[in-house]
Amino acid sequence: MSENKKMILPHKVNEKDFLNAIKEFEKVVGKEWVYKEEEDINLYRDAYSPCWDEPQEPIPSLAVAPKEVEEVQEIVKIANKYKIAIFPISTGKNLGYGSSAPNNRGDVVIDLKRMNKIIEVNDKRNFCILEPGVSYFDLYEYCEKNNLNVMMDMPDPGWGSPVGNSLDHGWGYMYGQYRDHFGAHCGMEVVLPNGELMRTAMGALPGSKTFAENKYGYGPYVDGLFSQSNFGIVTKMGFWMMPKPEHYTLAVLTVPKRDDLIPLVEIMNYLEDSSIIGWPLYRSPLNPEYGKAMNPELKSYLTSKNGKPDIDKIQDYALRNKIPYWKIDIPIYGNKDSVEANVNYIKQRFSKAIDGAEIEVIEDYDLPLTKEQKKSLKHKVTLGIPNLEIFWLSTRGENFAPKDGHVWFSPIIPRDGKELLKCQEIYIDTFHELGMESMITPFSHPRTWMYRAFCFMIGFANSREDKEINEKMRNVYNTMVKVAAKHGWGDYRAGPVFQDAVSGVYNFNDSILKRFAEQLKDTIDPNGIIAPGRGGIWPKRLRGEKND
Amino acid sequence: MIKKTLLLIFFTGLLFANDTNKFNEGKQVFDKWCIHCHGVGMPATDALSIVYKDTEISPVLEERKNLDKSFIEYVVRNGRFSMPFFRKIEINNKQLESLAFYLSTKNR
Ligand SMILES: Cc1cc2nc3c(=O)[nH]c(=O)nc-3n(C[C@H](O)[C@H](O)[C@H](O)COP(=O)(O)OP(=O)(O)OC[C@H]3O[C@@H](n4cnc5c(N)ncnc54)[C@H](O)[C@@H]3O)c2cc1C
Repeated sequence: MSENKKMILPHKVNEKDFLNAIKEFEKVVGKEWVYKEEEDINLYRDAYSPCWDEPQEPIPSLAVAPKEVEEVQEIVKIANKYKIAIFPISTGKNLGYGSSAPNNRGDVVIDLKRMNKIIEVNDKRNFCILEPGVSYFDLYEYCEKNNLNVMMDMPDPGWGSPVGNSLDHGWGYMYGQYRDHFGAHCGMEVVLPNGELMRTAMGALPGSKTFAENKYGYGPYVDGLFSQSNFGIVTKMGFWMMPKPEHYTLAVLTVPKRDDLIPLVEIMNYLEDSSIIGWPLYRSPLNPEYGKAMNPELKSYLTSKNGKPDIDKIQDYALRNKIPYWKIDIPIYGNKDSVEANVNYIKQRFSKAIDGAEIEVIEDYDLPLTKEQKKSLKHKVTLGIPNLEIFWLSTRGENFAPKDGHVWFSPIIPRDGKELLKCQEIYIDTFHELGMESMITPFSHPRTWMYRAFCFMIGFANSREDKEINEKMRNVYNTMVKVAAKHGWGDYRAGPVFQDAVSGVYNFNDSILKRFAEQLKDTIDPNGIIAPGRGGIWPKRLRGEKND
Repeated sequence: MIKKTLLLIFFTGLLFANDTNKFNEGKQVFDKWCIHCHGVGMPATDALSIVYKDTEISPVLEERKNLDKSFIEYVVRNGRFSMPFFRKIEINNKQLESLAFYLSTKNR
């Protein structure tokens, strides 16, 4: 620690105890793996923080990087001894929801990136067992090197990890059952807040041969307790993987009218829930290509009805210019014959129900793909190929400056066209009332990762330069949480700054869900050391202090 | 005299070997962490092609002739716009030095 710099301390821990704890951490993992210099600690800040450089920005006091499970257990014991809050991360790439920063200023980050063993990948029974530090890139490389016939469902950025992503309820891009990353996990090993090691489900049976295949073992299913929460440090997880298909096709559906969305979603739901199609990507071609400006005529209709959008004019503009109102990319997996039959069936279903619906096949490949095909693939993640191409969405465009990042507002709404159109209207009204340009238009599309619901997301820009922008954004975000809740929509995930607000609207019966979680927290983690406040769950010693 | 020359050749050889190792390590770091955004056709390259429009400067980092070592190190540890900074557990100081060496010497 540089002498003159003001040291960040863990909350309610004095400097002497903290320095002693550091020595003990160093004994466990080795000096090299305890990061205490300011320049090192700063690398654990949230690059997309909505409160960058403000006093409440959650900067850790220390980061400790264990390699083995036993070290994690020792770290937890030391944290208990000194009542130091610790915050586990796996790969720490949770950008938009907190990055590698903890929930509170001063929490000690336990960086599990060095725990990166691929324990098993089985391409006959289609599962893998991984440590937290294994990234999607690592796993892909391993499977390709070993010529394994399985693929992992992944989020858009490939540098995160199956363990970290699933523990924050992340989502991906293949068949529904794989897209739900927490849902596709099977079996867990966890270091509990007292340092004991627990294996869940089949893992509880010593010598069990189905750790990653049967989710339940016997008795209560407790795995859910360890996601978006603070009941332990997960050190191993099993996941179900999808066998590589023999054939892959990407079909594109277009429809001419806004209201076509209503029958369209119904049919799409049928196709998805019958496993005929993979992840449908909804878009509207009325949105300009990234970086380009919107057509000025169209833009003028966004506010031409007393400051609000004129939907008839927008629809008329689309029809006149022959721009389809909605466009959906549809991946289809199988063998050549089944894929072809499914494409025909899909064509039939849509053209019967929607006037002017058109379907075109734009990619049609036998697997394995050639290098060139892999490179040119429109949606690499739909075939489990990790990449970072999604970062286009915050880069510089021809017409605007780059963003510093974004903070996701991610409410879940029903998978229903009418509800989506209503949701657009409510958001537009809210922006109007706030006197801001609406970030939502009558052609904003739903996100479709959660296969039984839509997410209607807004990516608010954050700034590392301008605190006012961040403050304003936090206010809008918090307003949106309330507006959404009033209509029965709740966020699926949120960054640390918003977790109390988001969990706060899940308050049925005098917030019994929260009270139940708190009761568990006090029993399992009486010293309140693991990730205080994560998921809106505070330990007794901090309750009411930080979350008002 | 002969001894001295031999020694010099020996050390220069070592220096070259060191540089080769450093260069190779730098490329490995680039391929692991940077290429996914800074490769040809990738988002950071697209963004830089707007910045360097109408100039001689290539938006592809691996094609650049004038990249400054300390600038590379600064950006990796401080981020730039939506590019986040990298922790030492991801890219340690030695790897970062190699990366900067690789990018700053590749086309010199
Ligand atoms: C442009 C962009 C696109 C994105 N697209 C997607 C997307 O398609 N799908 C998606 O899901 N997300 C997406 N994200 C969000 C995020 O980047 C990913 O979810 C990412 O995978 C999360 O980071 P990670 O895997 O490194 O998890 P981590 O950062 O390691 O973990 C996330 C959180 O889980 C908890 N945690 C982690 N490990 C443990 C453990 N071992 N024990 C207990 N708790 C733990 C911690 O609270 C941690 O903060 C996107 C972000 C950006 C910027």
